[in-house]
Amino acid sequence: MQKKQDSNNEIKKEIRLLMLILIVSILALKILFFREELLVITRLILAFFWVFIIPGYIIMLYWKEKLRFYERLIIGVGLSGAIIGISSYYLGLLGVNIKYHTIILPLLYILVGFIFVFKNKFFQKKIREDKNNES
Amino acid sequence: MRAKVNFEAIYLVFVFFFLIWASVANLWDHRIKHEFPFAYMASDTFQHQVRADSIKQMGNYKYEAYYICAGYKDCVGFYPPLMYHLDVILSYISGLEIYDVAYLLVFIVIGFSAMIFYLIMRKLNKHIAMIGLPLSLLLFSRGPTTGPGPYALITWGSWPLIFGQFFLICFFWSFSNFDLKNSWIFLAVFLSALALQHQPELAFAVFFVILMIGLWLLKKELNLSKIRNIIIAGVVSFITSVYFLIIFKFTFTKGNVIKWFSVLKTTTTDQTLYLSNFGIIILFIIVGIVLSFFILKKKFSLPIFISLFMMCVGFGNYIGLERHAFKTRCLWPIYLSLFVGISIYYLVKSLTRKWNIIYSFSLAIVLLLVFGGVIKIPKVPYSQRFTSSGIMDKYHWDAFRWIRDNTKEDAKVLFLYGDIYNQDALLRNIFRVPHMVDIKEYISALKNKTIKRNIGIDILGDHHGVYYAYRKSLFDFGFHAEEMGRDYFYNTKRDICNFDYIVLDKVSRQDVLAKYNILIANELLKKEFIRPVFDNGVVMIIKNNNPGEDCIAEETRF
Repeated sequence: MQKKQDSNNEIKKEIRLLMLILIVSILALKILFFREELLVITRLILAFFWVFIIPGYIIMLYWKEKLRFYERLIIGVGLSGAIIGISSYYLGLLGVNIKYHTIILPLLYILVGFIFVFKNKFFQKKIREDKNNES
Repeated sequence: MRAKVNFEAIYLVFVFFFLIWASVANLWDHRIKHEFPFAYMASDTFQHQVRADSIKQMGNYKYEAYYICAGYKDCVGFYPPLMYHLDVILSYISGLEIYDVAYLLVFIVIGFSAMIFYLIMRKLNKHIAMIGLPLSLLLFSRGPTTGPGPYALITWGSWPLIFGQFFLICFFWSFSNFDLKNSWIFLAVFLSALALQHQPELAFAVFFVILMIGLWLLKKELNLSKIRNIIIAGVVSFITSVYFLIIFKFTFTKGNVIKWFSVLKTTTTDQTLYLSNFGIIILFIIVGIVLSFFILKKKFSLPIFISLFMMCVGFGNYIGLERHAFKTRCLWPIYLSLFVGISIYYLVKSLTRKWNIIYSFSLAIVLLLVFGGVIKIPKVPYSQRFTSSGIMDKYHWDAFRWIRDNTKEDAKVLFLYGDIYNQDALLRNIFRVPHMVDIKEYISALKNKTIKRNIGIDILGDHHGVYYAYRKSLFDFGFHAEEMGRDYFYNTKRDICNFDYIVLDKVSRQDVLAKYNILIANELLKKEFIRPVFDNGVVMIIKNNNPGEDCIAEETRF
């Protein structure tokens, strides 16, 4: 129970960190691209988070115990880019217009990430229970 | 402990945005949205922008757009598609034009490549990684004086390679985390991404796997779990990429053959980097390599092995890899950063008793300022900070957009001389099949003081060594360019009266050519059925309402 509480707290902390990175990114880009409107920058960063950060981060939660937050975050960008790019190519060939991929694919992989994490927790719990029963 | 981790994270965020500042923020004049493709320096940049735009327009990449494929509507989508799909998706959500998003994403990917390589270096030593990371700034350096360098890799449009290198670095990261549970997932995903992004990097990755297996065998470390991981990753990546790899096999490999064991010592056409271009930093690299061998002698280190491997790939020009090797060298500022980190770390460590993270941070900041060109030291290269609008300008872009929005899909459009039109991929931005006068013949006619009705006119498109390939069946491809013969596209005299629209520049760096363009336009406008439809002072478009009719004499002297 305590372990679950800790894990939830850690995820909450990480979500707060993600929010902080989001804000820092918007501010940093506004400084670097000071001639650009804040709205354009905000939308760009939100789009980048939607496609590259969030799906990768959620899938990478599966390896939460082994990898630090920022390592998961950084490699998650590569993971998101790869799986969304590949899926988009094939989904397009199957006849689904690419404009719909913008919603479908990140959403799909966010869902897959959650299932991944949930299954992992479920199995770990089951293994723990089995071990307890054996002992 | 927590404070330390945050300190490192802050450093990474800072370096990432420093890389963006040193490159695209300056290049783009601190603006994200532009009125036209900004800072596009060569034809290839437009090639990728137009292809991504065409995918956005078509909704998928089953076929190449007809205006990229000389008018053929059945050309197979032959170019590695992954990057383009990401461009389109991000363009839709961000609301930015493809030409802005596609270019920006290249810089973002470079930033993340450096970050991921940092994670790899960190497996050896956190401080070495921190000190080495700033060398990545040399990705934006001038490079050799005899030809294009690393920054030109970006501004001239080797974007698929940059994405390929990004996924290759991700692949290396997955190898450095081989002991993770289900790590085959990373291997499979990144191998698939390489297959759909840039095949030379896929070949490097496969070769790396073979080397690693050999190494494990030698060290007697090859176990069932490793074999299982590699086999599953191989099978999954094969399944996810086989469809495109078939296209690749029957198109790209047809015109791009590697001449194994041929030696090419230097290049003046491909973007590259020579070790001498590191200036005095080469000393740190050499010391770092020597120290690395001492480290390897004690204990195997994957980060060192990866850096050495990619340095050797860069020397692949001595075994026939030619441009693939030369271009890979442009990424040396990332791959060799480990050696710079090692040498500086051990040098400073020999002077101090106890290492503190503040030392790493301070050294890294100094190196960032030096490689970023804020502090300039003789014989030390630095990133080139400049702003340039590139080849395109608002006048031409408006003219192209006008054609796109106001002409029929099958309209025949002819370009007369224009300063920028030799970078012919940009002409595809009209979204119509571009035709262009043969410039040599055009200048020759001008010298002879004649206007010719029948003149050499090229049908332009991206055959890119794949000869306008089309699919007959799963494993059978036809090639329009071979069937029609090269002369049909490039060496045929065509009647300018057959074109629906003629585009001409009224302004040129070579004034005489602009005047000649206007002379031809005036001659054509003598016919009532030919009228100007667009003119912004720089570009003029005239419309022939009766294509095929006599619009000009066979030869007019002036």
